[in-house]
Amino acid sequence: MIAALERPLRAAGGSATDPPPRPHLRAVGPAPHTEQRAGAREHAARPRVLVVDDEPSMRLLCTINLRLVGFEVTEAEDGRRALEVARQEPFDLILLDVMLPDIGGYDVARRLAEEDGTRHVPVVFLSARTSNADLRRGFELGAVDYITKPFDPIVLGEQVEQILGRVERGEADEYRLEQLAQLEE
Amino acid sequence: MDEAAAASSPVDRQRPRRDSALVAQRRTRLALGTLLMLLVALGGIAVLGSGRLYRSSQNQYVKEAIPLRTNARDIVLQMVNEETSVRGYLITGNRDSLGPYERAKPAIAADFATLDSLARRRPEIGGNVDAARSFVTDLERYFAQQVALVAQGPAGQRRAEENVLDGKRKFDQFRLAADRLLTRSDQILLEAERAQHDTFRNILGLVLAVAGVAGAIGLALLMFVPERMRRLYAGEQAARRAAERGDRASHALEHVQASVALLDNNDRVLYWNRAAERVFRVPEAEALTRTLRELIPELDLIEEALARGGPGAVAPVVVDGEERWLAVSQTTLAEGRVLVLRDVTTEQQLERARGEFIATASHELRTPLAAVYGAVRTLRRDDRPVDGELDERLLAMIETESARLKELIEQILVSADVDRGEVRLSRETCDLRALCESATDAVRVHARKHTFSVDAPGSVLVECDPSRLRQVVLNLLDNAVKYSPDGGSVEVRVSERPGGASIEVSDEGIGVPADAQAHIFEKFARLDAGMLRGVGGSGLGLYISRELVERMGGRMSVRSQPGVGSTFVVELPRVPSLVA
Repeated sequence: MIAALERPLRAAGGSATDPPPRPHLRAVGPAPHTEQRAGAREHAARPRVLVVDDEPSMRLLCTINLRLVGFEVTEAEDGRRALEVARQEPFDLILLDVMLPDIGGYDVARRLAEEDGTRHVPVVFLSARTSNADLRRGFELGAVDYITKPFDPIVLGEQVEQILGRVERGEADEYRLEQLAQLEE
Repeated sequence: MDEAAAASSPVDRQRPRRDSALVAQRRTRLALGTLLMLLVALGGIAVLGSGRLYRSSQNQYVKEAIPLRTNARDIVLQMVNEETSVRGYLITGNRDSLGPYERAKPAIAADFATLDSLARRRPEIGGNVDAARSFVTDLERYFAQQVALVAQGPAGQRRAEENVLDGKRKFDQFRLAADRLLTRSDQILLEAERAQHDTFRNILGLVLAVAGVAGAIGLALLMFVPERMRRLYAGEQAARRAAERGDRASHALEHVQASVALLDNNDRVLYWNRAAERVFRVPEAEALTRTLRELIPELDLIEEALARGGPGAVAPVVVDGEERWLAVSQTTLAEGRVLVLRDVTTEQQLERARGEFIATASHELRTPLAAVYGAVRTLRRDDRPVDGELDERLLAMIETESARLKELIEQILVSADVDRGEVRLSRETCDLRALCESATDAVRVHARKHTFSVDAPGSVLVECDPSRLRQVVLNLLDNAVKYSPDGGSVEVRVSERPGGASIEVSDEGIGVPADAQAHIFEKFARLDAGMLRGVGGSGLGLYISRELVERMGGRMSVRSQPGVGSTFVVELPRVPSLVA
């Protein structure tokens, strides 16, 4: 049911400016059952995700849904706070909004990549900016994926799982370049 | 290509026409010259002919034929006188009767002298004259002999009488010779007459021939010249019209907003209108000495745009350090091309702003939609723990974000209405203090970092559209919150003013840079056009607010210091003088 949902959602997400669907985004292995995975996470080290968004509703939705599938979630409401938290605590992944009131998401990503302590943390943009130029910019800044709003929070956890899988297998960069090449077309 | 043919044809058509006009002109001139020469010849022939006629009559008639006949007759007459006189003397013996004989002798001599001179001119009569003279000499000798015999007395008289018969024979012989001379003179007269007639006929023939040719030429001219003239005139007229048309066309082109350049096949400038002078800052006189590449260094960009064609045929050109966008199009002619460059910088900017607006609007709509959709999907999640408080928060989220969506859509629609001038405003008395307090209460709920205050001297009443004005105040409050991300106080001050009232909304936010203050009320204006930072915004709020306030007869302005804060001021008349 979850996998079936993803396709129309993706299509809706990219409707205005970048209609080409990106089916390979979910083509990396079959998704494990949510409950099984959640159960498995109970005992293993729970992956830590930093959610950066100035909209409280967005942070709330991400937090609820990611926690439900076994992630440990920390929130930051602006760029400055995000950098602060990321420097202090180790994260497995950062979900980063682009439009932030103080330091923009792109700048946050750049700074994270510049600093030794945060360079290794994979960044996924989560934005309502959906043009090809925006996506390109995101991937160029080293993002391992770019999720467009609106998104289905039910499959968000699964998506994050897949991304982490790619990162673990060392395929993240390959995927990133693939995305960039496709955006160039 | 049709255009090309049409444009090149006047030139092509004109050349042979001009050539044929030249040929016609040359022919006409030739004909007129010939006619003139013939007329001169005719005059000459007439003068010469009459002269010749006069001379021939003078020579043959007056000088030859008439004197010949006169003298010949005179000789016969004188000889008759002599004979009569001598015969009378013979009969009477009276010496007195010899008078006529004596007088006739010198007359005859004179006559022969004349005939001799005529015979020198006309040798053919010499024989006749000599014959006549020998008979005259013979007769004269005979008369002298008779006169001498009569003078000797009666014996001599008898002998003289015996000689009379012989004398008669001699006289008859003379008469014959004289007649032959006369016949001869008549012949000469006749000849002279015939010669005159021939001369006259010849001259007449010549005159008629020349006159005939002249007449033919004249007739030909009469037939062809008016037609030629008409054609020449028509050609001239057409040429003048073409020239006038060219003048008018270039006059029109001078006043066209687009830059127009006519180029030959080597891209040399043949025409350069005033708009081109203005856009490229090159006067026509200078442009005419250059190629297009010398005038426009970015020609390659223009050629690329031309190759693209259609609505994409727009190229950026830098003139005096300023980037201008030019829509380019061209028409190819046989002898070159016409390049039309229209400055679409303003349209381009507007187009860019519109594109940015679409991106902005899309972003602005997606954000609340993401919240609504996300909340609904979360509520639908079956692995969600039972948590009434969480459910309540998600429902409230749906409520708020739906309202925000509605608000945004409203704003987009209102801005479209404002653009079209289709905003209807109601007009009722409203209390600005109450309006501002209620608007502040609505905003306060979402802005927990900010403190709000409304300061008013009491009820401040003006006539306005309360719902639209509330929209304006809400927008100003939203902006105050959005652009002071670190929180701070937001103050609303309502005060009476002469003839009206004002609402001031102040914040302690990031402020508006001085150079941006003039633009923030423009459509799609955003402080951060790239939307890389800051809170979202459609770029329509202030535009709509100012338009609405102005339609209520008021004014809107801003005072701001970056890093310190901004104050937006709405001034309203108590009674609006103009209501849209």
